[in-house]
Amino acid sequence: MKSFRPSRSIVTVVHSLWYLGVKRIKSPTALSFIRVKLNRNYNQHYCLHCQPSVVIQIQNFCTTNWVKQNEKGGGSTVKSLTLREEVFQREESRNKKTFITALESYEKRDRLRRGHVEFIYSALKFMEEFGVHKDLAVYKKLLEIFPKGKFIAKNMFQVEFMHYPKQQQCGIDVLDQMESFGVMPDSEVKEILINTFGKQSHVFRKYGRMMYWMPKFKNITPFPLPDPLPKDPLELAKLALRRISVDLQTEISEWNAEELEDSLDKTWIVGSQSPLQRQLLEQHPDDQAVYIEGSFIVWLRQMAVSYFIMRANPKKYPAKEEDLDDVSNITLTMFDHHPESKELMLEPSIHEQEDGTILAMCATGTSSRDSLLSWIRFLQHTNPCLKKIPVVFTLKSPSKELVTVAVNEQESSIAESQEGCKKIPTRDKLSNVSSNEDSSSRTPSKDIADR
Amino acid sequence: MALHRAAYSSFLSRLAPFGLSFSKVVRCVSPENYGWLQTLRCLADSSQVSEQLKGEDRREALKSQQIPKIKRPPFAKNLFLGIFDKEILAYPEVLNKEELTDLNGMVEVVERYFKEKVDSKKIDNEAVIPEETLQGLKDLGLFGQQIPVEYGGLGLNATEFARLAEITSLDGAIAVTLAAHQSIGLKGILISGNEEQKAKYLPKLATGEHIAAFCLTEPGSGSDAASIQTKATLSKDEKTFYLNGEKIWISNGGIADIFTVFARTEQLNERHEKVESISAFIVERKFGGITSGKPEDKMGIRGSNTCSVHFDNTPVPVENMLGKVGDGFKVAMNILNSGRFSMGSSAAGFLKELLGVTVEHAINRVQFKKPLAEFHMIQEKIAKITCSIYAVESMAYLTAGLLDTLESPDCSMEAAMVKVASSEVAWWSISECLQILGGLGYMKDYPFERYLRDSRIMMIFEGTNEILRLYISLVGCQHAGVELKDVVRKLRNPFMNPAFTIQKLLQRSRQKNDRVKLSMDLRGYVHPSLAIAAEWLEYSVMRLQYGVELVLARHGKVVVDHQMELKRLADVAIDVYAMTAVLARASRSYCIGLKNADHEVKIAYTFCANAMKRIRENVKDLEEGPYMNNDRNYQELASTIFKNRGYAATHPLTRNWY
Repeated sequence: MKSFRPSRSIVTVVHSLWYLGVKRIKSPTALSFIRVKLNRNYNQHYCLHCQPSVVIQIQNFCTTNWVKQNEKGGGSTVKSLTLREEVFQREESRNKKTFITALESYEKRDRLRRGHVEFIYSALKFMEEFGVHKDLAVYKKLLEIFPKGKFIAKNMFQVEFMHYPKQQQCGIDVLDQMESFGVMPDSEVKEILINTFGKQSHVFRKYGRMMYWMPKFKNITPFPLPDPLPKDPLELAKLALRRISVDLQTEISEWNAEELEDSLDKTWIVGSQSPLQRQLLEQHPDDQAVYIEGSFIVWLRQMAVSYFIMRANPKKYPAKEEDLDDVSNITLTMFDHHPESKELMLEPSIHEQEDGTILAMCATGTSSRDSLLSWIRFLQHTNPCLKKIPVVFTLKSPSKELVTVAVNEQESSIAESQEGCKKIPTRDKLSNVSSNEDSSSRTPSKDIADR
Repeated sequence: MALHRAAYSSFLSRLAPFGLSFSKVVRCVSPENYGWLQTLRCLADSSQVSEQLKGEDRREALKSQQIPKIKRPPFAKNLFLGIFDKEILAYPEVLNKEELTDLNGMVEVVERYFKEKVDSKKIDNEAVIPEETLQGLKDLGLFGQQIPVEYGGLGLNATEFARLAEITSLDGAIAVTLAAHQSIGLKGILISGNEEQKAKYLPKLATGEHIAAFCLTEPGSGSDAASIQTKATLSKDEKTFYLNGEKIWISNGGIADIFTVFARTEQLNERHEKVESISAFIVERKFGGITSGKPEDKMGIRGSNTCSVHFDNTPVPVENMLGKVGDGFKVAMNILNSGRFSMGSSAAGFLKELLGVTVEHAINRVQFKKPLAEFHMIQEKIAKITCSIYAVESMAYLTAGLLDTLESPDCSMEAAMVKVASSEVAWWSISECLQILGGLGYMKDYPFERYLRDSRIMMIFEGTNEILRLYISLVGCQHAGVELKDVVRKLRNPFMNPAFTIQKLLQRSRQKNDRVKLSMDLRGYVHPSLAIAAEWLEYSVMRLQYGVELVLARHGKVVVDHQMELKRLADVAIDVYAMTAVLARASRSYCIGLKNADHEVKIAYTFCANAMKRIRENVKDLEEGPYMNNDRNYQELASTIFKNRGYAATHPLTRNWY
């Protein structure tokens, strides 16, 4: 303390007075406007008439003071104002436990909570890094750092002129960060805020608005997901496929390529197909190809899952002119037997869209062409007709795996020519692979390459 | 200071439901209806204090904190006067965070037990609940759900009890065994027992070591409980009663150890004349002289034990009398009235389960190249079932909430409404589910036929729906009669009160034309997106009041004998209560943003529209009178049939001449 040398004499006065235990300075000079509350919350409470430079001085005095004291007590050698960040940077591992340790070390070190606003701001900055940015308990702990009682406005003027503006703004910023990370406060937060800032504070108003809107938005998503999202990509893929399968009858099946001897990529495959899609595939003419397209992306919150579709060319439904005004011959579709009625036509199903008929979808562990090939083999169990129908891979960007899987670089380069679009002779070769155990030595990518 | 407080409180009141997470509509917070809110606020804040307490102490402390219970006028009775307590539209939130977490934990355990350990099909086939299943239920504490903690029970309040009933109802036989044990069997000791009786009997009943039964019905006395013939004669030394008589259809009659028995006693009145009255006794099987008949073979709830119980000079000590001499009828009615509300949540419990199975079938069953789910008639059925389930669920939890939050609640009418509505909804909904499954539903492989059989009893026991309808409307008319005394007198003597009559006619012109003036502003008490439905509710309340006035003016005191009109009044009242519950719940859900809250709003609109249609029809029938609404025809037809001792119309193939 003795080494402290303030540059301005006015601050010296303040300092020495404070040092002597005088909390209120009353003199006919400009100082008379300064109400310095040095006991607990030193650096905020000043009169509007106060000169800015004086304020800065007082603030500097106080912060430096804090640093100095720290040096004495905590043995820290840091002298800059970035000290608060230091508390977090010092932690070796970044998790909830160390974050809380950092908060506690601050609380322990400084019973008077000096510089808590700056400390809270730096804590806010580090929350994401420590992975606690969505943890309500940690936010509560952070809000508990504000000293209780002092900031509560006692009259309407204090309310109107934002009592303790910096602290209130800091409280609002904490709530704001919670809001942007979708963390909904609870009634305990309410208690903390009431005890800290009072009911008539801007912070509490912010809380009020949050509690009005956040519950309303909490469940509003039409695509609810478990919280937290599963980490396993397989589970994610199942969720993704469940979401994009519009048919209620869709069955999600899960396979492992290890069951196939021919497969190169021993990975999981998740497929979705509804009975209706199987039926559409069965009706698909043998001489027309179906296409494997992808990869497309579906987002599950911050996670992206790539998926592939099996598509057939769109069916042409003849535009049929029908006179809806004529009621002289209403057909009883359910009760009459119409063996060869060409007039009547089923409504196109949900899978038959203008740009194509979606026959199945899948996501695989590697998104490689080989894993897709395994998918088709698995599909052949439930869709025998797939053995006859030619399957064309029209992958937009051949994945890396394709290259690594290839037996021979030359072959793979052939495979990747023709704009990454390959026709596989599934009609004979693939069916061979699946039906004949002996040909298992033949790798699927070779099939591709052979062409 | 005051100014700024006012400014801010009005501002804050427009903001979020701070902790008061139920429908917070600005006008809810007017000073005159602040009581309810205050209580709920206390509940919301109690979590703070509770943190210092541990475990069981905390639970107890929480319970004791819930005291400022509020005094409110009876809701359903006042509906008959056209008085609507708007605060009910803030659907009660009874449980705080800890209680809700505890309850959810309990529900999970019980649900797992029912899904894994209870084989309902076997219970139904063999017509007995296996000993180990019963033991499992006892271990879970399900035999002492509402018995206070100090007697070894779970000490659940009405809401928690209703929630558990949702699960236990997954098996009808178990549900009835449990209900016969604790909703009626031991309820007498809970409600009217003195300290010694409670301390002596409740601990063993709570663990399930003793099972209780309720003995009221006799061969000659079913719905008419006052006509029982079992006699209790006091011995010379005035220390023992001797019970003689027969009780039939006693649930748990064969397995119970403790019976609540109602019997006639004789005593002397002030003028030393002998008077007969009904008294209630706690009778232990080991007192001797008790024999049970063989278990009845029933249509549904086959696993539950039902048999006759004979009392042959069974000695009962005087201290085992429940309440005072002659209190028996009151005790019986209290027991029955307090047990009924949970039937709503029971019905909702198994109906939700069945709806799930049905929906799964409708999605996967394809006919005419389309899944059933795409057929409009199936969609209609599913939607109607959903609305009904939602209604009974809302009614049940609203009633439970009233029982828990009100001081000395007078909810027997509400409970009766829940019972009538839920039993009928259950029967109808299961039947519709079965219809959607078609032939499959008729097969014993699916649980539908069993549920259908099981649910049929709900309309019969604990007071038949007919009796309860009369109870609802008569209690309502009785309540209204006190207020409407002068009005009805004048209406029944129009020529003595010409001015009043003309005034009333003018007043009624709007009601006559079915254009009711709405002045209660119910729309201000629900979320704005439900405003229209709230107006329908208001219309319905006014119509109910109009109907009551009409019937009272038409029949005066003999209204008691006009059951068809009373039935209509009861139906209207039930619908009004259901609308209230549905609106309050949907409004709360939408305000606090529960999952699928918009779906709930749609359910509320659908249900309320249908209910209003029924109410309009019923009141129109009341207005038109017996010659227009077929009542007269029904009576005449029935009397002909009774005279002919059966179907009286001649066979259509009969010819009078050739």
